[in-house]
Amino acid sequence: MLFKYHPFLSCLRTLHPLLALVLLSCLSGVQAAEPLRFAPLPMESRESTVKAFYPLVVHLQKHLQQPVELVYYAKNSEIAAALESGELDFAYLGPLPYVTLRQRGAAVEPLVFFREANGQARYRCALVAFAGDAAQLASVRGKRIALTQPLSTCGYLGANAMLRHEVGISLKDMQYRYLGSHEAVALAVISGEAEIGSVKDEFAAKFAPLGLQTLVYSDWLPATGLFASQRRLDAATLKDLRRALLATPQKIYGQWGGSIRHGMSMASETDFDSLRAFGDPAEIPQGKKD
Amino acid sequence: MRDKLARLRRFHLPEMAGMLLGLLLVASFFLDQYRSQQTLVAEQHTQALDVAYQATIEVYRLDVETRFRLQIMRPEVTDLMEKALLAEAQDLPLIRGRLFRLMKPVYDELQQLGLHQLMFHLADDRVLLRFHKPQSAGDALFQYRPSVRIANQEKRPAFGLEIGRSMPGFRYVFPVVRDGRHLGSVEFALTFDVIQDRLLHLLKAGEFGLLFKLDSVLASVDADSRDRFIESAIHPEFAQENPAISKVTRDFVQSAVVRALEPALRENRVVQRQMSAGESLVIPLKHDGLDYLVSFLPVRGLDDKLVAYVVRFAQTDALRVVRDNLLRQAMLAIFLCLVVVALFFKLRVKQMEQAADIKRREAAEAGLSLYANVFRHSGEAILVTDCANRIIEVNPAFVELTGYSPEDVIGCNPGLLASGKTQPEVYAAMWATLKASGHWQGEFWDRRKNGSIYPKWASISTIRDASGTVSNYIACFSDISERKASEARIERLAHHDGLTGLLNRYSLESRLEQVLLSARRDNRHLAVLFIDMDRFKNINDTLGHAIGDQLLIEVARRLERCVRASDIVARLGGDEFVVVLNTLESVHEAMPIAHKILRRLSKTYQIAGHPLHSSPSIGVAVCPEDGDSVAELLRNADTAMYSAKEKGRKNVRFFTAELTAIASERMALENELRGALAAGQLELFYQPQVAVQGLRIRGVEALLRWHHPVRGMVPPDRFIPVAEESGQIEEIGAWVLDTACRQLAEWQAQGIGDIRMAINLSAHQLRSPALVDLVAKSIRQHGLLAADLELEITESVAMEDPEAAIGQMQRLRALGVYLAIDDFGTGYSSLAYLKNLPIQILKLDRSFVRDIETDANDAAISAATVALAHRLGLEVIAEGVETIAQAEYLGVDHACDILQGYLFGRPVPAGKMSECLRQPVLQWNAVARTVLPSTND
Repeated sequence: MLFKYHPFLSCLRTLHPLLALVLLSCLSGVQAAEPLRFAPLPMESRESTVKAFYPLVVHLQKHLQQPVELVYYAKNSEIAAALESGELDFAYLGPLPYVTLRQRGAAVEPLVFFREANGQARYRCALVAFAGDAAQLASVRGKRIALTQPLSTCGYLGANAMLRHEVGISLKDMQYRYLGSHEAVALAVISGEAEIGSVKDEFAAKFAPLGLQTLVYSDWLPATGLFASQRRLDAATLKDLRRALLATPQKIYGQWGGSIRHGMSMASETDFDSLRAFGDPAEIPQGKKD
Repeated sequence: MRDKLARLRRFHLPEMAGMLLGLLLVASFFLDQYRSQQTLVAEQHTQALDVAYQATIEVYRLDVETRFRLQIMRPEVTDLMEKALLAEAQDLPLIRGRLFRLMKPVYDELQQLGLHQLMFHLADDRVLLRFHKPQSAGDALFQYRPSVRIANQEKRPAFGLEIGRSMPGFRYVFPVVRDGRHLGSVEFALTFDVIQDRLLHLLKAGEFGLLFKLDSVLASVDADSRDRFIESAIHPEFAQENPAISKVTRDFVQSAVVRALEPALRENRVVQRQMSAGESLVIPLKHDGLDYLVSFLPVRGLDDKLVAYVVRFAQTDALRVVRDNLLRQAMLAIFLCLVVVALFFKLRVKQMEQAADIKRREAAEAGLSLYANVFRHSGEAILVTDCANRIIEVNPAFVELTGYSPEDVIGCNPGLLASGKTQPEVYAAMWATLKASGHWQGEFWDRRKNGSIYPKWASISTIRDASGTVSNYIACFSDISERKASEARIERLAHHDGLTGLLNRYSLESRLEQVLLSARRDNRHLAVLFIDMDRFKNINDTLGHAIGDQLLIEVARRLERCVRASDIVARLGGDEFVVVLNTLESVHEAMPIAHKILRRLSKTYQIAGHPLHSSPSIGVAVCPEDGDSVAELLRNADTAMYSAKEKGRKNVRFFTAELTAIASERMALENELRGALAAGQLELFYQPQVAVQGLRIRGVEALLRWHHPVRGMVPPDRFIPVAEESGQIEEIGAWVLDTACRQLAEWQAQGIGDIRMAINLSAHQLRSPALVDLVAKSIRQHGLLAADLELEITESVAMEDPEAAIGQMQRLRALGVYLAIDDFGTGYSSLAYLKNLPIQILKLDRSFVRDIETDANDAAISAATVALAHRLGLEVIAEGVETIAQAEYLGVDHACDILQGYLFGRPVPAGKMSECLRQPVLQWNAVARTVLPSTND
């Protein structure tokens, strides 16, 4: 009875059978109703990431009348590979993984871009430092820098581009470490594990209450978005998916996680031109440099 | 079979019922034990879960308390908290960052321990730093988090499970007070998956779940975090972690077993009720043949209200072990019970057998005692000998019967009792029978000690020992002297006449049969004399039976004296005797003996002072001339005797062929008469009875006629006796009564009134108990008056049994009919006797009337009879009046009332009588002219 009167529980009540169906299919492998597999970028902790994207999954299930399975990958490269191989139907990616996939000839196409808090479908990478350390860009050579992942836009390429552009040094001249997520990079900088870090500007702002300070921003980059596998989804489904996403009302996406709660916009291939200026993804080292 | 059932009912059923009850009790006990053990196992599970949970919480509490003292309550930490408390907003990020940096190693350690939450909260209700969500700070928590409120407001540590705004967990919140200044609080929190891991570590097995009170979730969880929860599959008032999220975030998925058990729990009313009440419980369930215990441990919040349930799903063998153990114990107990019952049964059977033995022994002893008593007190003499036939025991009855004391006979052979009268063959047969069958019964003649001989009935049995050897003989005997005497008496009564001692009919026939055989064999003659005492009935009736009996005894005595001892004298009954002369050389020898008998029996008898006169009528039949069989001889002798009576009594009549012809005709007449009535051969004629006064026909007498198709008109005196002797008279008499009444009714209907119908009654009719009813019925049926009928009874009939006749006549008279004595003067009644009869009319016999004109005596008798009858008030009818002189003498000279005879009319059929009745008044002359010179009726 409680569900009947409470909007949240009412929603849960509606969604619960679908979720159970997702779980059922996951556990038993029954393909009676093939779910759409979706994976988000691990930009935060696993807990936060899942929590952020779960409402999106529920929304899509409702509108597509088809189960959607949320799959967690700890590495962007894994997500890219899965999308390329057809293990995923669609994924939340940054520009770099997409461009990388396109370069590899993967049958992937952008669905929508998520708008940032400023309402625009673009963002920047930021080199951040803890305010208490009084770090200066000019003196970062040889310092420890925390990076997200190799295949993260604000990872190696983004950080390298910003350093080259601002202080003329390369990451090769730095001690860099991949910490997995933007959140981890931010906290590593705050905790003093690294002098600087490269994160998406959203995270620079999110951790500013802990004394995280932005040293420099990169150029604007295409926003993060949803990218679909053309191998698994036909054009009609892609069209439906895109329409469903773009038609999502604000009161719905406003409930979603921090990175995707500002709405969506149509994606296009040309939007990724600016990223190409970051460099060749193929040159990204996969490990840390001490 | 019936005995077995009876014994089963008497003995086995109660025991079997007891056994069943015992088994039920055992089963009930073990069922109860199973429930108790199940409860115990359940309680153990509950306690284990509770202890594990409390231990987990306590272990972490001890850890965090230590950490709080050593790692939190450091000056550099508290400095930062104090600064934060005082800092401006723009300074807080740096302070927060420094605190993060300072405590990051501690947080990393905590995470290693499973404590995923570390939060600093300022005294003014602002979150300073959340390590699990560091970007989120500055918010107030007192409203949502009682533990934080208590720590900061009450400044005491607070521990407990809280759902929180986003993630439920067990919280340890410590107030931070430095130098008396309250700076805020520090919180450590355990998430449930950590608790679950710890519980699993401690309890080794099971799967855990945490169910939160739904209202608590709604009250504290932020809207954007509520999708972490869904309604519990177990209870609608509880929420559980959203598996879709937990699967991704923790790679945790409920097992299939748990998912399979949850619906049963949802359906379980106990679960629903007790969870709503916040009580701990354990539910046993089965799935895929395995036992599971689902334990529900209620977890209360800081306000002591139910917040959640820790649920443990644990597969357990304990229940199966308990069940198997109890089953084994129950089987053992039942087996022991059965053994005990079997032993009990065996004991009972033994007891019953012993009791039966005792009863049998007592019965045997009682039997022996009884036999001893029987032996002592038996009315029969008992003698016991040993195998050598020496007397070893006698009873008192033996002593009394034989006169021998035990000392006289013990050791002697029973032969000392022998009288010598018993034939040796009897003894030989006795021993042979004893040898063959072991038992003999028979008669002896023995001698008493006093020398007297007596017959005895003896029953002798052989007693054999276990080996079959004769050990004893037992003889029981009794004196049968009286019985022998009785038998002799009975035999005598069976063969002799009880009154006279002569042979009876049975013996006569038997003996006669024998002598007939003997006579035929020896070619000798024999004669059968049938003797009937004349007028004996008269003597018997007048002087009484005692006199009559004495007369018969005397007759018998005289008869015996008249014949030889070898002759047979028998009494057939009444006054009939038979004498068989069986040693005749010729038939002529019978005549003198018969006449001798005639003479002797005709002599006056002196009986009780009465000189009695009675003579015999004797019929004689001789063998072989008159027959050679018993029946033939007796019948022919009887016929001859009737002939003698007909010839005037007191004579001897030998049977002749003529007598046989008469008897044959009589038999033929009897047979023909049987069909006469049905054949309409009988007819009533009517003869007028004329009143002297006025010469008017006063009545008619109905007279029976038989129109025989061959013999012609058979006179009444020929067939009426035949009808009486053959018993047909009753039917014929009833027909006469009915026909006469019908005729009178017809005449009355024709206007011929005022005449009376006279009807004769036979002796048989007078004795019939149905006579009165028959008369009454005829009167009623034909609409007559009783006074229209006159019933005539002959004097001899009336005198056969006067008392009975008087009674019957009184009853008839009571109907109102007239009664007349017919043929008066032919019998032996006196006029004095007439006064005792309820008659109104006396009919003077024609034998007196016939000779009135020529015999002075008859004339005098007739005149006296009329006069005396009138003196007695009787009306007189003179029969056989054929002449005017007779009529004038009787009617005119002596005032006879009514005249009947040919002078006034012969008996004529009804039709002719009708014509006469239409002229009822006659003239003497006219009457004279009508008289025809023919014989009277």
